[in-house]
Amino acid sequence: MKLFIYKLILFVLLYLVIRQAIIYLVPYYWGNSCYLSKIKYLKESNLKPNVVFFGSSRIYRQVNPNLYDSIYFAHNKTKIESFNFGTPGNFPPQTYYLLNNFIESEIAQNCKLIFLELSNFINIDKVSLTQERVYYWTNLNFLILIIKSTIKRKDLSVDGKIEIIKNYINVFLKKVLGIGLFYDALKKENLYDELFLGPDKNGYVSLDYEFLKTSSEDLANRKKSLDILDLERRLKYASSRKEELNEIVDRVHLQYLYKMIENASKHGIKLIFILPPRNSSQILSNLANALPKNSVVDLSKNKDFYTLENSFDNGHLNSKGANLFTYKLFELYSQQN
Amino acid sequence: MLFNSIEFLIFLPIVFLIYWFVVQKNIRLQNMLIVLSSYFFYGCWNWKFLSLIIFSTLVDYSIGILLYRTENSHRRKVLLWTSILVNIGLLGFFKYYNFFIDNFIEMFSILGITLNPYSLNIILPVGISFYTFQTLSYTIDIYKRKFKPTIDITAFAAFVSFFPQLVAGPIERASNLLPQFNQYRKFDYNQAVDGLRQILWGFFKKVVIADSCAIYSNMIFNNSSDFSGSELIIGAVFFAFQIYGDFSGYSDIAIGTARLFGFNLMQNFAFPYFSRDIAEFWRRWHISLSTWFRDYLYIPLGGSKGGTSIKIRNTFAIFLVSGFWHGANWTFIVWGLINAIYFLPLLLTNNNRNNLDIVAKGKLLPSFRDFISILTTFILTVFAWVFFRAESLTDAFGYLKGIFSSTFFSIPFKGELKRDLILLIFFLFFFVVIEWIGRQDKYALEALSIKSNRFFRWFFYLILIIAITINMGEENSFIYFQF
Repeated sequence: MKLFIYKLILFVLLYLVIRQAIIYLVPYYWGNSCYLSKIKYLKESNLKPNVVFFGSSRIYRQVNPNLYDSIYFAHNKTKIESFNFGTPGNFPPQTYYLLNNFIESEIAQNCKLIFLELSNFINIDKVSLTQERVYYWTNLNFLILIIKSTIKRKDLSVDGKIEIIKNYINVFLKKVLGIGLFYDALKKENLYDELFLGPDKNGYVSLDYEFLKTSSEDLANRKKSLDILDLERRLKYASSRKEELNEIVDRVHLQYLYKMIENASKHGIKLIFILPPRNSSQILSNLANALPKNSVVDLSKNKDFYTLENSFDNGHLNSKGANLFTYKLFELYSQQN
Repeated sequence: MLFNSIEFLIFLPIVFLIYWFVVQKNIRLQNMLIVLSSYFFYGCWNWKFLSLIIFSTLVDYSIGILLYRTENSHRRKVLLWTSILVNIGLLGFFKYYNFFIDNFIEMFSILGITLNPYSLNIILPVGISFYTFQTLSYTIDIYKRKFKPTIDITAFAAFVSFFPQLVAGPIERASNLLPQFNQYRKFDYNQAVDGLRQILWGFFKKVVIADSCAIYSNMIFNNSSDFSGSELIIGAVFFAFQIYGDFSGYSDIAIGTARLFGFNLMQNFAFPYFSRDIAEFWRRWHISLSTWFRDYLYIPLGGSKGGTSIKIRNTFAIFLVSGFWHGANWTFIVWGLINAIYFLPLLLTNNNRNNLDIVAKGKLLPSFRDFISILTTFILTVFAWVFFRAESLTDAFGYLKGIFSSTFFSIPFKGELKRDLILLIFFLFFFVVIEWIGRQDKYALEALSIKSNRFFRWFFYLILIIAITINMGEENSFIYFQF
């Protein structure tokens, strides 16, 4: 029996050594083809942006860096270069993982300002459980963070907490076992897609543009489902959120955000959080309220972002709305700082 | 809980360690651990249906003892039929209720009579087709006085619910498995290593072969009108490998896992695609089910004894029931019918027991004649698989019509093969070669420990694991879970 256990452990260690060697070969963003494409482009073009935007599709589809740069220039007479690192379905902890690694990388050398979409930790469901994009970023620190945060959350039932923790342990183990890792190490170059860079190669891809390029049935259906009543409901919900500091704040999450602010500051970078429209919740508001006032740009209650004119679908703005969003982002940030 | 899941990866070592380090000196405790862990394993899917397993266990345990103690032939028959009705009743209700209701309604609608449909939203409990047959064989063997019942309820419950084979077989006979629960089990290094090796090969078959083939076979079968005849053939071939990789892979994992705990389960697949005729195929495919039907249906009906009409009747009976066992759909019945038609000529001409040994035994390659026989048998089985896979008879005939169309000889996929497809073809080739080399053993890698040194073995295992992790994406359930 001892020999069996000994050999089994030895074999597993051998496998983990090989897996670790592969991890050194693949980049930290190996599971996210959109982010990979952006980083690859910046590396090849030797570009080092001054301002970057991180977040989900609400950043990816709604922040136009070229416009941001021209507005900045118009106000400050200084040229800057910004870049949109938003990727679809990118929520914490994945966003934090990418951002932390970005800050340590060479590409962040000239970076002075990072806008980060404020969002709750993603609840990994059974459907997304096996997608590489769900587990490529996980590590022990994030696992502990999620477990602590989930246990202390008062908005979840016991069953809900168990489900979330179980799913996160599951994705963590997938990462440990290197599932999907070897294939991506082999094919990582093929994950590159120019479409992710957008027409101006600044990482911004409006849904209008993508729809034009791909004629995707999914996008067509989303466009068709645009409903003013849904937009009004979201605006009403956003407007009804309380602004006062609330005791039901995720302190674990908050503490981590403070650490991120501190870490960014050590690298000479200012970290600003964005509350975009159509994704608000009281929990998120509580988090925003607990952060330093001038570090949060709240665009969630602006009525202009809930009109049919500025919308592509119920969850996102169209290019017109995105331009307005970019403008308002700059305006509000400038006012606060 | 699926075998190819992180949950099982955590579950198995925990149970293994407790089994061999905590309760190893006490058979009863070991059996109790097996029962509890098996119930947990099953309960992870749906704990409510544990009640069915427990019910089936208690009924057949009690009937087994009563059957043994009773001499009165009438009473014995009543007890036996109670067991049959309970087990088949459970199976019939959960698996076939809606099928019968729907066909009943359709039959009446053809006559112009409209009936109010009352289909129930019935969930098919995973593994019910397997454990009901397993417990049924127990009571039938006791009735025939071939086997003595056990009075140890824990051992019996462990026999019924043994987690490696609970949900998709092999369907074990009490005479093989139950005595193992009453024997002291000592950890055997070689058995455990061999078990792990078989598990690894099972995962390779399931994750690399079956799940990869499924991507293409599903794409082609679900949109068959968009594909040419040659592409439809490829889709059917991919399905043939999918179902073999899936089911035999599961069996390998089940058998290998059982060996980790000191149990020997029966071989369920013996390289069926190397068969030279259909009779041989059915001696090598899903052996536990085909032998179950042979012993408890075919032979009681008279088997191949008696006149031609009896043989024909019995052959059709066994294949149709076998088809129906797979699912409540006419496609499975037609699949069984096709196989009966294949088998019958061999039986009637006494050629059904020509190829009892493995093909090209002791040789590197088959003879040309054997190769043609293998190819012919494979093509016949692929043709039948079309019905097995199709959602309906209309789809199946449509699929076949598509194959035998003007595009039969067209170049598939316009000659452009994507990287994933090339990789899959490479893995299939590798798989067939390994299976061919290991065809004389119980599973393809069994002889690896004897024929190669440790360095080569470990390198080979790592290659397999890397191939498995490369292909491991979605946690696809095993096809036979739905049966």
